[in-house]
This record gives sequence, structure tokens and C-alpha cells, in this order.
Amino acid sequence: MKKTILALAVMLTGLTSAFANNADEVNKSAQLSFNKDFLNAKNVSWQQNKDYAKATFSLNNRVMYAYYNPQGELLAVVRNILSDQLPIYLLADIKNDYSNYWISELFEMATEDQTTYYTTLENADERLILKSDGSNKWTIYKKEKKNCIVL
Amino acid sequence: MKKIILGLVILSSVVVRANDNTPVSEKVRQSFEKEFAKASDVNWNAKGKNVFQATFSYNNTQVEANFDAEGNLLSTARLITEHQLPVMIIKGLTKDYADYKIRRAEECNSNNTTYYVVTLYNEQETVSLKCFSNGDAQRVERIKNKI
Repeated sequence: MKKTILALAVMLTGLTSAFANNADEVNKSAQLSFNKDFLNAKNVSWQQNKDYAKATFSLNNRVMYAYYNPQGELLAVVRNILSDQLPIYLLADIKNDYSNYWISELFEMATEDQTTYYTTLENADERLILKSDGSNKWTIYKKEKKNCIVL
Repeated sequence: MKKIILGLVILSSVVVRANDNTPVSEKVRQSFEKEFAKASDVNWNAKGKNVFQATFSYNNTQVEANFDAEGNLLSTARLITEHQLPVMIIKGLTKDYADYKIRRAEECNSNNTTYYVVTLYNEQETVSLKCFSNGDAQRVERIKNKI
């Protein structure tokens, strides 16, 4: 399960794997589960790969993504958020400890067990990916130096 | 006469300073400023002997934070909008309370646990729920609307 979630996180940061977009190819169990889980979903579209089905939809005018395994079980719900949607301690930590970085990406990944937030912070020199540990603190998930171009 | 005037001036400055005093120690104040560095419009209140409550504006929202006399942050609460609720709570509410509207939502944190108090209403009743970020919800109050 952890691996699946991490894989989703990687995928969300842009390394998208191959999806089939044909509605007929989307797992029926996933579609049935989705219709029960998100009664008021609008603008639903599906993508399917060999490991999971992904529904893109809007709920209360906000775009989000739901991932289902081949058995139709909900793996995770993901949405991009703004910093003011973070729990206050996570927001305060970014403001206090990373004030010289800007936020280039921030998303919420929720499962039946827990909600985790991931954010990409950048400054001129480096890029950090932080992962929330509970709703009170961050851990560094990945840290990389930016390439320098010397003229 | 000069001595009396000087005495009155000194006395009045002491009174003004006394009115400016908030009931918090430097330790508590420093702890607050470390935790919420960019807070504004801060007001302090003593809640009993050992609990001090700061009410302030933070990132355009109104927040309450309680500290003990040692400066330890005990709890926080802030009013939030529906969109600031965790996605699993939104999922649960749209499914189980489809015909209700949200009147008020509050994010609370105490003992390192974050939970959300959501008040919803429809034509018949008003319901308050204690919700957790995984979507679990406990009903804490239910009031029938008066006709």
C-alpha cells in the first residue's frame, strides 16, 4: 500500500505513466465504487493503466482525482491545494522555517487511514519535497540542488 | 506645587503602563512569536491561572491559541471555509449529509491531534459533527429546528 501511494506521489509530480483513455477499458468495479463514493461528482473522466483506474472530477467546484485498484477499492483521493488549506501547524512551519523558499507544488493525498500533504519548495539553489508527518510537522522527502549554468 | 504636578505625571504614566500590560509573561509571548511569527492583531486573555489565550489574525484567518505558563502551546482553533476541510471529510459530508448546508467549520488541534467541528443544517435540524481527516465523524449535537 505504501509503495502504491508513493508511486502515486511520483506520478503526480509529473512522471505520468501510460494510461488508456477509452471509457470501455476502465475497470467497472472502480466505476461502481466511484459512483457510490462521490454522489455529487461532476465532469468525470477516466484513465486506466494496468495497476489502477484514475477518475478526474470536480466536487464542490474543486478538481480532484480518485484512484481505484482493480478490485474497485479506493486507494487515494488527491487534490491540489493552496497553502491556506493546510492544517495551521503545517502552514506555520513553512512560514517559519522555509520563508526563503516559494511553493511550486502543494497537494493533499488522502486514504481511508490518513491524510498526507506533499509540497515542493524552491529557491534559487535547491528544490525540496516535504511530506507531512501527521498534521503537525514536515519531514524532508527529497532534496536536490538545482543545476547551475556558468556563463 | 511642582512636586505635586511631577507626582501626578509619574502616577498617570504608571496607570497608562498598567493598562497596556497583557497578562502574559515574556516566556509565553516569545513562544507565541516563535510559533506564529507573522501574526497580527494579537489580543491576550488569561483563562484561569495557568492558561493564556491569544486571539489573532494569521494568514487572513482568525485563530485562537492557548499556552500554559511555561509557554507550551496547548491547543489552537481557527474558523475555516468548506474548501479548507480535508478532502475525505468533504467526501463524507457530500455523501452522508447531501441535503445539508455547512453553517460553520472550525479546525481544532489539541494533544497533537487535529480534528474539525462542522455545523450543518437543513430544513429540519442543525447537526454538529466532530470530524477527523480520514473522514470519520462523530455527531456531537443535534437540534431540531423550531417551526
